[in-house]
Amino acid sequence: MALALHDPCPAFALPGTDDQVHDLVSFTGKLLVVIVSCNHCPYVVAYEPRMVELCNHYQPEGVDFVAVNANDTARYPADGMAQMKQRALEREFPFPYVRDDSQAFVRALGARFTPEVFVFDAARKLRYHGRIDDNHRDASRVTSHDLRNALEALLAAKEPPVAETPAVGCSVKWK
Amino acid sequence: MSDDAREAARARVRKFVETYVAKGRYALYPEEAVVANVIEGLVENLVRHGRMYCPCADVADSKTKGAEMVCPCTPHHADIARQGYCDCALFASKDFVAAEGLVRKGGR
Repeated sequence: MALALHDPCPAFALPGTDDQVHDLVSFTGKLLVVIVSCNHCPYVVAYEPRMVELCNHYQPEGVDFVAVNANDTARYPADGMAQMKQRALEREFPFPYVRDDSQAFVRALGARFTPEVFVFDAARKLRYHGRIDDNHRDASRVTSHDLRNALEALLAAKEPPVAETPAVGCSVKWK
Repeated sequence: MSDDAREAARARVRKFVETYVAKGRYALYPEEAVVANVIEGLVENLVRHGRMYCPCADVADSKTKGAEMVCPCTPHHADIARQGYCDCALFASKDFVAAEGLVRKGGR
């Protein structure tokens, strides 16, 4: 079951592709965007440039981003840490890309898909959950910039116009 | 690819999905938006690559595996048995759908 709006962000301490451990308290921004992600999913691959762009745009405004990969590496070796490091390098991720081997954090979020977005406010309560936008295939044909809209609203101390949207993508590969 | 050809592909995918569900073993994943997106992914792959490759898998990789990753893919039975739905979230077990219905009735 996914977190409900206003539920607190579950605690985590996860290793990143930068060889650092990233925990919840290490993110001090006004907002925290958690993107359940991975390496192999075509939906994620299509969204990665938008993830990078959103982070580069909103990080200076005090929005922290973190991407979390919890996929079972026994069935999907491409989602292992070595491959994650390669992806982070190739795509020049401006955000930590962390590995949730136990899957405990992603299970606590209640995520089912990659990519699936959870936005937490300064008190680390959930304020937006769902998709990045409504067209993974073609960024030029997006008609609803759901994550961007939520961030704009929250940064202006308003409610997101739409706080929950259906995440679409590949399923998280559970062990 | 013309709009007519794309529409024909869409009709073919929808017919396949309806027929597969009608066989009774599995139901559709219980979120219409998710199902609609997967169907569009299958349409896209049918139009561009000639087969209904799973949209949740890399097509170039799938092409090396023959029919294994053509919907209904070989691993979907095991995926549904393990987590209640196939990796693309198109087909789901009836138990999973029923459980989801109960969760939503409960207000989530």
